Amino acid sequence: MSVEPDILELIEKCKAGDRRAQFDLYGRFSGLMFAVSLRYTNTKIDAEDVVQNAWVKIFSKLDTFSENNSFEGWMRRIVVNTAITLYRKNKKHANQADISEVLATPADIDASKQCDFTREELENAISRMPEGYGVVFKLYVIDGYKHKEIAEMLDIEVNTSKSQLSRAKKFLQGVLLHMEQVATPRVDDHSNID
Amino acid sequence: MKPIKDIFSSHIQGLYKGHEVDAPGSVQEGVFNQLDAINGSNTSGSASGGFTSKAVLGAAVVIVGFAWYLMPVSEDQVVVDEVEVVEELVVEDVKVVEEVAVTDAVYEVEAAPELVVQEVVEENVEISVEEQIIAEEEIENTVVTSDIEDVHPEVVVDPIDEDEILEEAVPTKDVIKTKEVQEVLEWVLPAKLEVDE
Repeated sequence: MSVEPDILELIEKCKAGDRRAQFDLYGRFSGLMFAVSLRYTNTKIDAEDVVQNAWVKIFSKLDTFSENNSFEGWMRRIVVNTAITLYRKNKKHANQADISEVLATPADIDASKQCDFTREELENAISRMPEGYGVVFKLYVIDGYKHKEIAEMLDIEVNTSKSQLSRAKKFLQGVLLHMEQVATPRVDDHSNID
Repeated sequence: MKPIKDIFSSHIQGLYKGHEVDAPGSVQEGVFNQLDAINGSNTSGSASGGFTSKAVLGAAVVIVGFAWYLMPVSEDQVVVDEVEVVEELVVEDVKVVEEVAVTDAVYEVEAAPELVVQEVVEENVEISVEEQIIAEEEIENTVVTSDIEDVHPEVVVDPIDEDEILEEAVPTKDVIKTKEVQEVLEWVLPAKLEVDE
């Protein structure tokens, strides 16, 4: 995947220390990178810190970027790695505490066949997900990382990454089913009210 | 089940594809302030390095100036410098010339002894020959003198009996005997001659 010529020109100017080019590059990708940062942080403040540090890394390491790769993917990886670093720093046995909750969640996969939920509904469901599962789920499903990469990033076993992903999906589908049921009241309830 | 999961995942990916959230302005300020700080630290680092180099250069200039001040006269100093340079050049030339001369001298020394030895040998030969000749002459003289003293009587005797003298070296006793014999013969002969007549 090659880089667009105008982006490549911006990159070269940024390497030369052109501040205007740096502003242009930041303005072009800041929204995308901030969205990525928000996915891997619990608070907006953390997301701002992560994306700020990530942008500094991006400008500092432009010389290491290969033109044969995707520039957006390269920046996204830097943001994700920065967020994961913060996540590992703040991790406090959250996974072990949430296991019982996940196992107790009813898994109704059939209810999710329609996939008619919106991104806001999905984010609402992910926000209820235990943090450890949520990170694996977002890395694998949303950003397309492999289990081996996830295991290296989170310092866990590959099988652990796979099992956490499976449990995260069951949890997410259960939450989405519950949300759907709450949003569409059953006919019997109306008859009872009446 | 698997296709359903793939649809589920792809649906989620589609939800997040191209998703952007406007970052607060504080993030932009923080990013470029941090970049300025990094560049500033680099610049200050280079500036401090430049200051250090300037300080070292200044100290060197001060030391050289102080040494210059301690020198008696500036013109002498210049002349001394030139002399030193000339001396160095001359020394180098001399070294080269000496090296060449040494090699030549070595060749000469090697050849000369051979020639001298040959000449000496020739002289020795000549001298030895002359000495031998002289010695022979001396010996002959001595022999002659001794022979003359002793042989004069023998020379007188030779016409008497030459064959005996040639066959063996005649001692003096034999000569005396021959004299006696001759005297005997002389005494005998007239009688015989008288008989023949």
